[in-house]
This record gives sequence, C-alpha cells and structure tokens, in this order.
Amino acid sequence: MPKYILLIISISLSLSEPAHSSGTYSPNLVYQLAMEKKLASDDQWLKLLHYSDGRSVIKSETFFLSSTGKNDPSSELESTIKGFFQDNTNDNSLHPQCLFPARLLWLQDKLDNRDIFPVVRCIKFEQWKQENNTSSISLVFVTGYLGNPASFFGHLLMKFNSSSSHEDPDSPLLDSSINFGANTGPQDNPLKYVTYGLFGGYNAMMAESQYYSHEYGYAENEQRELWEYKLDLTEDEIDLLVAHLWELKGKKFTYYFLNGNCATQMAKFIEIILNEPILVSFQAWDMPLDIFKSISNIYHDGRPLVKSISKRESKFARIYRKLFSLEKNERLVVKGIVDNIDKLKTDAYRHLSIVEKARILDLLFDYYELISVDGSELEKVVAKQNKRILLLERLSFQPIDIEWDTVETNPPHLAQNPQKLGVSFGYSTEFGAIGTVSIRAAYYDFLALEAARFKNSNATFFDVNIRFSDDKVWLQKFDILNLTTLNILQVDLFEEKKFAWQTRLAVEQQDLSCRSCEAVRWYGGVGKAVQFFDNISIYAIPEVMLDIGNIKDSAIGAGLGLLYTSSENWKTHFKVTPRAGIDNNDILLSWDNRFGNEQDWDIRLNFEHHKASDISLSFSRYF
Amino acid sequence: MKITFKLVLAVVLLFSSTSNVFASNLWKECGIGHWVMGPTWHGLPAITTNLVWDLGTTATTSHISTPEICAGPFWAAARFINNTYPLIEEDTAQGSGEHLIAMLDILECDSSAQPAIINDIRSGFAQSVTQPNYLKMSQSEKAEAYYNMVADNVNTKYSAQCDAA
Repeated sequence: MPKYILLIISISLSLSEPAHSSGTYSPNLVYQLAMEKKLASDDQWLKLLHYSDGRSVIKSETFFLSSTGKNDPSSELESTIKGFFQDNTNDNSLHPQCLFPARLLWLQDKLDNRDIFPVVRCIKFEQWKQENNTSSISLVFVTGYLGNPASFFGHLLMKFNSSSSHEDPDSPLLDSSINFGANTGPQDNPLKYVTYGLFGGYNAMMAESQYYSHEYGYAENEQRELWEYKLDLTEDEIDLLVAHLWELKGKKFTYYFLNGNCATQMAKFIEIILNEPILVSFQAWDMPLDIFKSISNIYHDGRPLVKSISKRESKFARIYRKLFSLEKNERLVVKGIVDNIDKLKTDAYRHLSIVEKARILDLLFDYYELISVDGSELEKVVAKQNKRILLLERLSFQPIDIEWDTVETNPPHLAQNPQKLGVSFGYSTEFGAIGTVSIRAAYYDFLALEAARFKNSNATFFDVNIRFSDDKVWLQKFDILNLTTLNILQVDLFEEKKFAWQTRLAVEQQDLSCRSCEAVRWYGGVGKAVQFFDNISIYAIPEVMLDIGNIKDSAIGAGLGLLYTSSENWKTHFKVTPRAGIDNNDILLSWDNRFGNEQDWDIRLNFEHHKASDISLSFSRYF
Repeated sequence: MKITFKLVLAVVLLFSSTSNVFASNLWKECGIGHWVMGPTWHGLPAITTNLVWDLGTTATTSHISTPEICAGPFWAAARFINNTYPLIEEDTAQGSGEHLIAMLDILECDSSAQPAIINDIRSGFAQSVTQPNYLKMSQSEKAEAYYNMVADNVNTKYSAQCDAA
C-alpha cells in the first residue's frame, strides 16, 4: 500500500471525535442508580478493585480515582462514575474510561445500558486490543525446577490466545502471555532474595510478553514442561478480562512467596468472572498446582471451565521422545554420529532415505543444542562444531515434513494432592503395638503418583509423624524439608554426568528404640543413580548426617536404594544405609510400599529398622 | 499475536530511512543484543523463577536510545530471531518448523508465499553457515546476520507478499 495513503489513514484516525453526550444521564443520576443496585458492595466490583480484608492489595495510587479508593469501594465507585463523564480531549489516554475499560464494561452491564456514559475514543486501548486480538484465555502450569528453591512448586502463567488468519493456528508462540513476578534486583544475594520474598520486601506486577520468551526460557533452557489449560469463557467474559489486564498494566502489588504469588494473583484475576473461588482458604499458602486441580473440577455456566489441555515438552523430553521414535537402525546411526561426527560419511548414514536422514538430523540438532547449554566448555565447543556440520548436511537436501510419535503423560491436575493426613497401625520390637498420625504440608514423595514433575524425586515439606503406644505420645520425626532427586537422564546419548543429590533438615528421634531422644539433624549427600527397563531405578548417595545439637553424634553413611514401579497400583522403595559415627556404627533399613492409584488416598505398608524394627500399615488422605 | 503497527509504521516509514530496519540500527538502538535470559544468582546460569522479573523489558528499556525504530514488525522479528536463534537455525536447516513460520508471521508474509521465501532464506543461511567465521560468531552476531538476510529478502524480493515491507 502506498505510504502516503497509510499516512492519510493514520492522520484521519488519530483525530479525536467530539465527545458524545449521554443525553438524559448525569454523573449523580448514574451514581444514584448504582447505589440503588448496591454496586459498591457487589462482589465483582470488589474483585475488580482487588480488595482483600477491606482494602485493595494494589499499591499504585494511579489505580484509584478516589483518594480513599484503596479502602472505600463506594467512594471509588463514585469517582469512577464521575470520571467517566469527563470531557474528551485530543489525547484521551488519561481519560478514566481509557484507563479503566473493565470498570466501564462492568458498569454498562450492571446498569443494563451501553449508552449510559458518553462515548470516549480510547485509541491506545483499542490498538492494544486489536494487536492482541484475544479469542480465548489459558492458564499455563510450568513444572517445578529443583535448581532453585523458589521454583520447587512450579510456576503459573496466563496466556491470551490470539486468533489470526496469518498465524499457524497450532502455534502459541506469538500469543500474549502474562507473568506475575517480583521485581527483584539482579544483584540480590540469596539472603535478601529469601527474606524479601517471604516477608513482602518486593513489589510485583503483571508483565506482558510474547509466549515464545517463556517457552524458550522454561522448556528449552530449564527443561521444564508447560501445560496449557484453555478456559471455556464467553466473549463478554474475555472482553472483561482483557480490559482488566489493561487496567493492571504497570500496577504494583506486594509479592509474598507464600500467599501473594503468581498462583494467588492469577486465581484472583480469573475469579473476576467466576461465582466461586479457585483457591481454598484453609491453608496459609497458595501453590500453582492447587489452581489446576481446582479449575479442573469447576463448572462454569453449566460447562467444565477447562476446555482443553495441551503440553509443551522440554527439549530433553523432546530428545527422549524422538530417540525412541526412531527405528533401531536409525538409533544406531545416531549413536555412531554422537561418538564420532565422521560417521556422517559412512554408508550406514549415506544409504538412509532422505526422510530417515532428516529425522536423525532433527534429533541431533536438539541433542547438540542441549550440550551447548549444559555441557562442559570443551563439550560446548565440540557441540557447536558438530552442529555446524549437521546444519550444512541438512541444508544440502530439500525441506521435508517429519512426523514423530507422540507420548501421552499425565497432566498436573492428576498428580497426587500435595497435603497429607494419614494414620497407621503396626508393631514395634521396642514398644509393642504402635500407631502413627502423619501430617504433611507439601508436596510429594518417591512413591507418589507421578504427573508433571521430576521423575524419581522426593520433595516434602513440614512432614510430621506423631507416634503413640500404650499411653505415651511422642514426636517421631518432623521433616522441615526433605529433597532428593536421582537426576536420571534415561537417554543413553548423554553421558551420565548428572549427580543424584539429597538434603534434609529434620527434628527426629535418634533411632527407633527410643522416644525421648530428639535430635536436630541435617543430612546432605551427592551420588549417582541409574535406571533399568524404564521402571527400576538404583541409586547410591554417600551422605553426611550432622547432629546440630550434639556434633559427636554426627555420622557419615551411604544410602543405597532401589525404586521399582510394578504398575500404577504398586510402587516400592527399598533403602539400606550403613552409617559410621564417632561413637557407634549402625545400619538403617527401610522398605516402603504404596498401593492404589488415586490422587486423594493411598495405602502403604512400611518396614523400618534402626536399632529396633517397626512394621506398619497406613491409610492416608491427600488434599 | 498478529503484530500490526500500521498507524505508527505509516509515520515512521515516511519520515525515517528504511535502513533503520536493518540490524545495525536495531541491535544498537534497541538493545536487542542485550536481552538476557534472566538473572543469575551467584554465578549460576540464568534461571527463571516465580519470584522473578519482567521478561526483557528491563534490559531493552535501559538500552533504548532511539525509541521510534524500536517498534513494528521488523523490530519484533529482530527480537524474536535474537531470542530464539538456535531454534530458528534448526528450523531453517530443516526448511520448516514452528519458529520459522512464526518469524514469517511477524513479518506478515502470506502463507502461500512462505515456501518460496523459506527457500531463499535457506540459500542465504547456507552461505552464512559455510563461512569459516560462523563458529566464532556469538549468538547475537549470528542472529544479526540472519536477520539482515531475512530483512533483505522481505524488503526486496517479497515486498508484495509480506505486509511488513
């Protein structure tokens, strides 16, 4: 299109139209109508203002039109209505209708009159809306990352999905995504990071970017999965949420890691158009997983709130899937090339079909790119050299569409619920008949159902066992945190260089023969693990046990374990730990079995030995 | 997201040189090469957490000196290429792929023209990879070179098929 025509169009569109009087309505009349309908105390009005316990959680003064709007919804409503009657100017970007389009939509709907306010042209908002062109909204669960404690529980994004005739309808890369995160300083030390994050030292805001940036960071670099839950919302609901996102741009919240985090604020955002809360109120923290478990069970206007679920796998998962999609001869060629890039010149590769070559090269691109990120300095150099050779090889023949097998895995809402309450009965060689009450705040252990989390890992927090026998009750153990990951790669292209590691901080009885010998202990260890046949994992983790109250009781040991998944209904974990201390040596044994495949309960049979022996049968509920 | 900046672009194109869409201006003026994956924490590789940052805007804002050119489909394509270069590289070699198609969507190239455009991009990319200095180039430098090649194709041979041109 000739440039001068574009200019003419741009100039004519930028001219402001004269304000449209609303005729019979005045600000006072509209406010009176609103008060008659009790709109100042309407649940949705309070949600739009982000009220909690009588005041808004939004810190920015610019979010309020009334000087007392932060804690007086009635005055904010009055100021909003009056503001909507302000005169048009050439630049309406600061007109209240253009700053708060969601409030405008909401009032028009509640007062059942689209013409109740004068018409104001909001060019910037309209442009932004047109660019986003949102046709649906999704919530995205990013699986946990054991490399950073702040990411153990995963993350949550919102995605505003666009409809466009130009766009690949299956690709979300250019969709708009919303991240709620704290504005941390790039040089913040860990102590500040943790303290500020827990106690509200950071501001946070909703930040918009294109989805590809998250996809690249999480899936390609951090090897995390992104699970997208598309919501079934009406056009009006989408319009309201899009308009409200505009209202929140640049507005500051206080970030609290436990209950003012991404899960908290994204839930509150979606709740604007729901009649029920997404997050339960009895727990002191909000976790991303809770949102997805909740929305999967919510019906909205008679339909499931979740319309569809899709997964974007990590680069590593993609390599795994592609490798096991290859035929045996293709796999041998891949391994040969990884061992020696010159194998590209051998007949084994040369005699393959174009499709087979394209598949092999496609896999190897991902492989070498992962090495370029994760490998040692020398490996990175070699990986880049080899990738260049492969790029030139691939460029030497024509584009071909490649089909790969798909792998179905369980979405996060099917994971076992994170909080636990259990009771068990059994026998102790020391105390006779025993019972135990178990309470756990979060998250999952080795035997939990695996869904959307690291395989072969254990991440439990505030896990308490209270034991009773005869008329005595005692604390058997209190794990403040207990983290273990076996880090098994499962792809034999990679050298097994990842380490299994564990760390645990606990208050516990020194052994099973006593009940008034509490000790505060820290465990730490690094080792190795391997997997066989997809369902057997074996590990060896040398460990240090530090008795914080009595250093002389500290010890070193080696945890040797086996995990076996027989089926969805039975998984077992056997572990033996020989330990040597200054004053004594001993051997610990444990054998745990989980039966059942439900998210909200299981039955376990457990045997333990540590100076005395226990056997118990437990029933647990998960919430 | 279909990025249509026609109103802004109309004025920008009339009053600024078309050389502004080339990498030397975009990388220098818009801080594209300064985009970081995220913070580092005591020297650990960049990590994203749910405690963390507004992706990209902090870094690019601090390096913007000529804001008018840091908008529009060419800027968006440059940023996309720089930030996902390894995947663009692979898709280009394969001649297909989500990131390659997304790049052409940013430049608003008709889907019917995309096979021909991809063919030319592949030829240009092959010449680039063949150069001995390709291995020594940083990711940002490779992305700049790639972007220049794509922008040249779009602005010259495919200006009728790509609305961004």
